[in-house]
Amino acid sequence: MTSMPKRLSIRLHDLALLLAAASLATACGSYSGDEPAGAGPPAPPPSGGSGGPTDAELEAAFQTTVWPILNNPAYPCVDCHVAGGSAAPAVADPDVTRAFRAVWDNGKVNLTTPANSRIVRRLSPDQHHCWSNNCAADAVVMETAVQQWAALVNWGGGSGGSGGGGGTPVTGLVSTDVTLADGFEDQGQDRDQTGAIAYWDFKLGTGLVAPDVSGVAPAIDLTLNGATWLSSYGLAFETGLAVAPAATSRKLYDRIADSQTGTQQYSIEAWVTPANTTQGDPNPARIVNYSPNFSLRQRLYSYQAQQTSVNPQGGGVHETNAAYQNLQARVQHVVVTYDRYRGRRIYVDAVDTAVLPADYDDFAPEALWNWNPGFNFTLGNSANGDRQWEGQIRLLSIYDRVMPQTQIQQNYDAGVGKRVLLRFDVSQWAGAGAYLEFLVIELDNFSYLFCTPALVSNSFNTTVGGLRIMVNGQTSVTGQAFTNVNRVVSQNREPLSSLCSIIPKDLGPALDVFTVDFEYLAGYQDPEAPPVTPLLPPRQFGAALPGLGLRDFARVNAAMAAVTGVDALTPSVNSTYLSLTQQMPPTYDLRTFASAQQVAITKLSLEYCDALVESPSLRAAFFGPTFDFSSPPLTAFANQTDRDAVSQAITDHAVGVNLGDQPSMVDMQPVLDQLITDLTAGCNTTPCDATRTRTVVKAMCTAAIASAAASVH
Amino acid sequence: MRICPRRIGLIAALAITMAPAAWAGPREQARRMHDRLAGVPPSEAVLTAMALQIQNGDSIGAAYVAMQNPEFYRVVLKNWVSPWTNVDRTVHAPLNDYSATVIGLIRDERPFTEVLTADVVYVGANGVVGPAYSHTDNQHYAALEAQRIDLGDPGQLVPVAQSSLPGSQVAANDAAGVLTTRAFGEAFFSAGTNRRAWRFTGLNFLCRDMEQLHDITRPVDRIRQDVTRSPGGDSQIFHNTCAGCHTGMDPMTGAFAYFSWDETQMRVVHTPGQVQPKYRINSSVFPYGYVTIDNRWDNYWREGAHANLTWRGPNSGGFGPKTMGEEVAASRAFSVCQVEKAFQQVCFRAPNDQADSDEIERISDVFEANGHSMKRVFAEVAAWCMGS
Repeated sequence: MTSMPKRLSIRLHDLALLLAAASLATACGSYSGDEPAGAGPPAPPPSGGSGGPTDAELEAAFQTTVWPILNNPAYPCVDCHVAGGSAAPAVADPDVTRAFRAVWDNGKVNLTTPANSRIVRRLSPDQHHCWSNNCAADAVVMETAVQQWAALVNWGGGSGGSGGGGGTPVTGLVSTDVTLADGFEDQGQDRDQTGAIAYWDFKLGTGLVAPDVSGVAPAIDLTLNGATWLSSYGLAFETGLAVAPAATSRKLYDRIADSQTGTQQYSIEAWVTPANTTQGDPNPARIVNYSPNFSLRQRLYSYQAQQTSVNPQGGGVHETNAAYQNLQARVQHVVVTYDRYRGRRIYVDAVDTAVLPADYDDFAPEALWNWNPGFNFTLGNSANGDRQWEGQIRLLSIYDRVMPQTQIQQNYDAGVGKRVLLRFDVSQWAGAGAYLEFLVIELDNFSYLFCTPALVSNSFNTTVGGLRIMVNGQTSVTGQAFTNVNRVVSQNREPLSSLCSIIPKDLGPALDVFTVDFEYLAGYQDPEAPPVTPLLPPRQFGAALPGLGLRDFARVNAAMAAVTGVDALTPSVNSTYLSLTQQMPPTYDLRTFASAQQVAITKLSLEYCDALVESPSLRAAFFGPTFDFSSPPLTAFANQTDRDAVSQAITDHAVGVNLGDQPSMVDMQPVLDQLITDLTAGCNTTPCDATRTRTVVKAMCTAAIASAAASVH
Repeated sequence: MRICPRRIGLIAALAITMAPAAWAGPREQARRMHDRLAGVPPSEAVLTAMALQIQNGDSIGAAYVAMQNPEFYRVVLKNWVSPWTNVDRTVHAPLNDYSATVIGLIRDERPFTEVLTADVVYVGANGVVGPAYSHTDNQHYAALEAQRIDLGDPGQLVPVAQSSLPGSQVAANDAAGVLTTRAFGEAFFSAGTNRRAWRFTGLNFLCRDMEQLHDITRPVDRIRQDVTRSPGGDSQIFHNTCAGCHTGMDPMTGAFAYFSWDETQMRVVHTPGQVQPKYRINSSVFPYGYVTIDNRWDNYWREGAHANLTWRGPNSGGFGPKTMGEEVAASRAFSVCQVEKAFQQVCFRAPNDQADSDEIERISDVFEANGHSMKRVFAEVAAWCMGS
């Protein structure tokens, strides 16, 4: 965590501005102020400075409140979030200091608003590895612990913390403070509303009615029934819908479908953010709905345009090709157009989603006269509430004509949402009239975008760089995009970047106070101290592991070749090996050994032993010249010395000689000898030939080289 | 005649249960060392020689004897490297230019840092196998494997400059060891956005997957336009999850901006000065994101939680995979990672206690002090795990 005096120093100033901004915003009504504060990862507030709790105090409080939950061995956090564990950060580490730093430095807690803490929201609504079967209850437990933590350090109690006091003179290289209310709204490029018969910009931001602002009577005002406002303009749908009366909804019928007054064509244009790509299957979720007349729907990764027409061939559902995955869980500009000559077309971000001939609407020249004028127009669900869609609608416009491509492109380029130009006064450093300008956009309920900064000044040939956005005196640990800016001013209006920082909201758009922190500006510098490099976490040692290992498939093959002297490329051997590689052990881990692998090893060993015993030269080298492979078994194995010679050769080659950790001839001989006895038993009644002799030797060979003495090392 | 599997199984069981947990003398240690390094039992002569060296306190020398066995290269190293060369990390991958190059670098005791930096690829010597090296297929290496060519023989597997291969699109100052091999491209440049190329570089050479490199505090200025900042309308997810990987990964993947895999030609394509279209796909997702204009890479992990990987390269940023490879290979994490991998391969387990951990650090020091010799690492690890 960084901790800079300049951040601490402006707290009193911020507090005053914050309160002033709150009053101003309420008075002007610029923003509703009823939006919950952002719950993105809050910046770790400066600690240890004048007035605020020290890191030691914070850690001590953490140790008795939150850490016992995170580190509870009965809870799943410790299964992954420990040093060297499978997930970062190590918030559940048994080392309380390491756990504290992981929580604090990564902004996983919000002591100002405990409910917005990441460690709370991961439990609910995210349902991330809760320890009981009730994530909401677990989240309450965690939130309570965070509240206790905040109370123990007197967070926000006048001596420290977000929005708290403290305060030393300003010495940092920072701009003046600005609120959203200090800016002016950038309308962006003009939208082309030609042909619009209904239009919702969702700017009202409060109340239970979202008005149709198209100016075309009658207004299809929507009543919010479960839908909620976005401060960044729009409606959010998790449950419920927005619904208009049938009487006003009828405007759509009259202007589009009526046989006398309707144009028999239409367009639906919307900026939407689907919450996920898993909804709407098998029953498509309703985004925009005048069902059964027309609707815009979601099914997994596809948008659907549904309509009714006189000829059923022109109706039904037309959807984007699922393979293209046009629908994504992000803000998208979606347009559906229909006329009787081109059928339905669906554009996403101003691009026609149809690529192949099969992607186009299978339409027939149609009129829409059979629409039913008695239905309610709804957003986010069907009128009877059984097709819930989860997501956000930021803007919606309906036209009684087909939007041409140029209009679609223009409206896409115009963008969506509230955009404010903010100017940060830096005249203290860069001379009278100097300011830094940002385009600020409310990205969603949790973050602002600070985009395309430009420095307006006369500070030519000086460096500007290392910019960080601060909210309420705190520098967000995440989302900063201008820390690497390093530019020499060469013009009166010096653009610094084409990017955006994504800055988490703190108290909400009505109350948040913004400051820009510089490392370099107009001949001044105040570089950031590099963060302290943490020590590597110690290695984690699990249960003791086997000290021995399997030979994998290739080692088995090579080892058998080495032991027997058989060339691994011998066709019978090689073909068997190639057919068995997947069945033999792929790794050394003894714990993975399975019976199927032993079967494969045995099969391969049979081939090697067969090649060995059938080759006079190889078997002579292996067994020596004395054993008679051309005699029947009752002759060849009649002598115990001969029997032992075979066992000895096999043991020496397959197991090794004079190795204390391997079986010896004393161990092996009885077993191998018994094998001879068993396999030749039938020869006492039915004569056996020399083939049986070699078979018996192959069996002995196989028993040895397929054994653990050979396959384990 | 049929052989009774049950009886063979009995023998197998007996063999393992009869193995006594005896004190391991030089002979047993030599046997274990040879088995682990070469994958096969030693001949009596080799075993005796190694045991004598161990008895005389030269276990490293004994390990070098074991590594003279061709199977060290043909089997053990090949199977050690093969999982690095494919997305599935399967050991059942054919020999290819990636794995052959790793094997060759180890055999020749070239600084192993060259695995990410050198203008080199190992190929079969002229006439060893029928198919010649090709940019468009793997037949050359498949033949080397199928014919069990001795990869430990410097006369059969030889180094050549990647830039000198006929049809090469990689100049000497672009070639970056295995990062610019055909097998790497087929596995990690195909489709996608080339982020996979970084992920597997980190996984294989720093022993860290993206979860272990997660850091949400790094700047977001190199995250490309194709990453939404508000998935499902919830930018918290971006802050806490997406950004954690993309802040560090996206600036690293800039190094591969001129590389791709051509599915039609089945080869790596390199377009110096021309950013591959895959770097600019889905640009409408977040138009205010980073637009790749060249093959600039930056290591944002030099600060923050992962500065403790001890980055020691000459520069924290540069252009192309060669300098990026230098940055990775110069880190302490690279050294420790190579030792850890060798440790697991030879000891058949991860470090199990503090003594193991300390030994890995010591061998990492030896690795760096001895010209980054991986062969020496294998010898050191084998000596540590030969039993006592």
